[in-house]
Amino acid sequence: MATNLDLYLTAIRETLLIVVASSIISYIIGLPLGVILAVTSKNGISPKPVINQVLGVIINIFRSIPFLILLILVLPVTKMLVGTTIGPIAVIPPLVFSAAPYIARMVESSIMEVDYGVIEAARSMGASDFQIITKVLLTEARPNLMVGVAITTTTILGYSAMAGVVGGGGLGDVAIRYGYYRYENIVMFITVIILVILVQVIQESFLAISRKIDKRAK
Amino acid sequence: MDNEILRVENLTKVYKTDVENVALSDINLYIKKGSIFGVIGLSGAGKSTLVRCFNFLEKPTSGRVYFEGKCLNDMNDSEIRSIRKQMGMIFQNFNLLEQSSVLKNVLFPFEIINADRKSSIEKARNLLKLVGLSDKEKAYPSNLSGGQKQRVAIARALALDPKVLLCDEATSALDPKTTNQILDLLKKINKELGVTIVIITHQMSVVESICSEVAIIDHSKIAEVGYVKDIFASPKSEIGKKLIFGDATVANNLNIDVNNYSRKFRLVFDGNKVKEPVISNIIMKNNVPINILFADTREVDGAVNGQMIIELPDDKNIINNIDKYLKEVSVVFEEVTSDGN
Ligand SMILES: Nc1ncnc2c1ncn2[C@@H]1O[C@H](COP(=O)(O)OP(=O)(O)OP(=O)(O)O)[C@@H](O)[C@H]1O
Ligand SMILES: [Mg+2]
Repeated sequence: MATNLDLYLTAIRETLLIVVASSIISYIIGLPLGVILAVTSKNGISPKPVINQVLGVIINIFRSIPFLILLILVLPVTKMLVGTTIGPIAVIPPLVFSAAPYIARMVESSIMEVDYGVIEAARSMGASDFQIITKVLLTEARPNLMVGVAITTTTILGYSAMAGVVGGGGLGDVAIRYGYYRYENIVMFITVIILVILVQVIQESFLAISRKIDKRAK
Repeated sequence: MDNEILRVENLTKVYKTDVENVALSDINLYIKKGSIFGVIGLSGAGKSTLVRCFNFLEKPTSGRVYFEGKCLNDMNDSEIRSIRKQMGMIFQNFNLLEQSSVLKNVLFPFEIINADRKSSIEKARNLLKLVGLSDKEKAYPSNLSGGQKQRVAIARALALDPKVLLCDEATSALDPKTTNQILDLLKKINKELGVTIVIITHQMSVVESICSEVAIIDHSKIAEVGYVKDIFASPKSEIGKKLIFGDATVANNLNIDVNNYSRKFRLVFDGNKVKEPVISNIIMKNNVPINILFADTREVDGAVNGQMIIELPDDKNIINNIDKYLKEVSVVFEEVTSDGN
């Protein structure tokens, strides 16, 4: 039983590492892309149709590839980036490849929701486009962006479990090795329960933060 | 003109959507430093477009815009931004940052110019005092009334000591009492800080209560421009008459006249100048019955403007006599045709 507890704790730690690292890296890439999408769109603060469409198409291509296929497709890239194709670290690149475009779209739609009047007011005060992005768009969209964080992190958590198929470590890996290959149904059952709890806790925490920071009329 | 602050020359703005939409056509206008200038017109006349051209939020299709004699057309983006810092702007929907506190909203312009934090906060607090909201600095816009939101917007617009305050329908979302409070505040700002104020509105009462000059815009063109007291006394344009005598037109449509051979006339007088009992004099001198259909007085920029619509028998002699008498006492006397003009 002691070894079992160790097994779960290690798996949880690996899963959290994968989710946190992939989320952060995905946001580092996805957030600026989302801002560019929103800013260059037809109704954005600096419409640039060509940039907007090219970027939009690239993002849509990545979004339409199923995660399991992406996992295999990016193997060479993974090898190049992290030096290995197995273990928890190796799961991060495919997760980033699939989450970043998703985040970009979510950030885009959060920013597009910012009232045009506020943007115009900022412009009338002499704000530059960059100042409008940092001081108006991103600050006004904060609660919506936080809802996006709740959705992406839990999605990444779910995908990370799938990565167990390729020996990616974490809870999914345990579920497959013990539950599927060794028919230890109890282990599989417990990992699933842990996953469900993690998803709930992460999602509710970010949604609570979003509600807390939102100063609009409730 | 060295006391002019804003001027537009041959300003035209065409929006190209599916069809070409001429929002402004060949507008020429100048606004004096320190004045409260009204721009009035019906919905879609082009008022907002005009005020957005003043600070180049909209680029004119053709024509030139001058601020203190400097032409905005010749400037690059960063020069335009520095001009905008000298022109505050407030809006019908207030346009406050919903996620920022009142104080943070007023600090926003200071952040844009990277001003020193401590002195910014001090200035922002003084501005909140000026607009009467010192106790609300920690509140968020969603907890404020419309009038309070507009006060925050005014404080924010004044942050960088602008020379002009552009107001686009600033009171249109407010009830009459709050409207008057905001107008009083704007008057105070004009008097005490010497800020030139441009007021866009579709409410005649707003022009009446605070503007010294007014431009009437109709279908993308300026129908008439001048001192409010002159235009109120005798509007020349159709739209001017409609906006100013609008109520009288309603009175006309009541069709009170019983004998169809009677004629209706409009009298417009300056209440401060006319000291005689004009109506009784007309009645006594001509021994004629007068039917008063409509009467109204308004105070415009210190002058009391009165107008009255009366009904007279269709008698050339009597009408000529009355016309002569009214000219002597400088009361405008003109026939009102059936369509109210
Ligand atoms: N961004 C735009 N794109 C296309 N057409 C526009 C745009 N902005 C204004 N217009 C058109 O220009 C004309 C003038 O609009 P404007 O907003 O200046 O009128 P307004 O006098 O301010 O009216 P209101 O009292 O309703 O605010 C209208 O016909 C309007 O449809
Ligand atoms: Mg308008």
